[in-house]
Amino acid sequence: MLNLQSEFEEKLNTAKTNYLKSLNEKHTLLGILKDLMFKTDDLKDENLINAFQEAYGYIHKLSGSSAMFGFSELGQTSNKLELLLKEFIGSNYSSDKKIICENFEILLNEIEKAIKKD
Amino acid sequence: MSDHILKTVLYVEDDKDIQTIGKITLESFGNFNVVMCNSGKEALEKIKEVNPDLVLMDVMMPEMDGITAMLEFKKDTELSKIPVIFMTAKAQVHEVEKYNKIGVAGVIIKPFDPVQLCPQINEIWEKFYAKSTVRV
Repeated sequence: MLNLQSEFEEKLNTAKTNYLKSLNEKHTLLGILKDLMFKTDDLKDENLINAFQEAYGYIHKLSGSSAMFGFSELGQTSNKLELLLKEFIGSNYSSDKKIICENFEILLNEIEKAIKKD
Repeated sequence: MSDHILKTVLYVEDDKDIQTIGKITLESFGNFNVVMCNSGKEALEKIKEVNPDLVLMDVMMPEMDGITAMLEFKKDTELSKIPVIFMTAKAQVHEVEKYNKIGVAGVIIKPFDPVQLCPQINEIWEKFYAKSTVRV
């Protein structure tokens, strides 16, 4: 059992290192999506709608994976933003956009913290 | 203990990061033979060839979601006998009720605890075959 545990931990550490590398890419991508999402309020702009949908997909994944890799704060922050985005998209993009912008900023900071910490 | 042996798991998950941690966990702690698929559509294409003892499947996936894939399995007499466990963050009461109605063996909530994953699977597996025996 001890061998199993250490073998698992070794594999998990390698996976965690790779995950941390991928957090850099995720940070860049989410930064681009954030710029697209908050540069206009024109709901006829397809890029805006696509950016929200795409961001929701990425954050849903981040929310699921980050906690499993031991980044619990990142998991909580992304989960909160996922719910806000779901509500916003569900309201046909009419609810409070400012709170999403603020939480997006918090999430980007949290990703940076996770990258620096490890 | 069930007489059925859990050896091969068809693991259906579109997120590469979760795939990685899930596969490591299933192989290390469960000693299972794990075959990966990226979507319900791919699972549907591979399932007969793989002939798994269990399907472990995400719900929200591109191309074909877990519910649609499961309903497709149910159309086939042989495939309908394979237990399916959903692994999902979408686990509110009404959602779990919906999964139960279509016949899932169990639901594991994401994010999952890697250390607890295999015991959870084994528990659902045992319950599934205990129920099947009662039905017969």
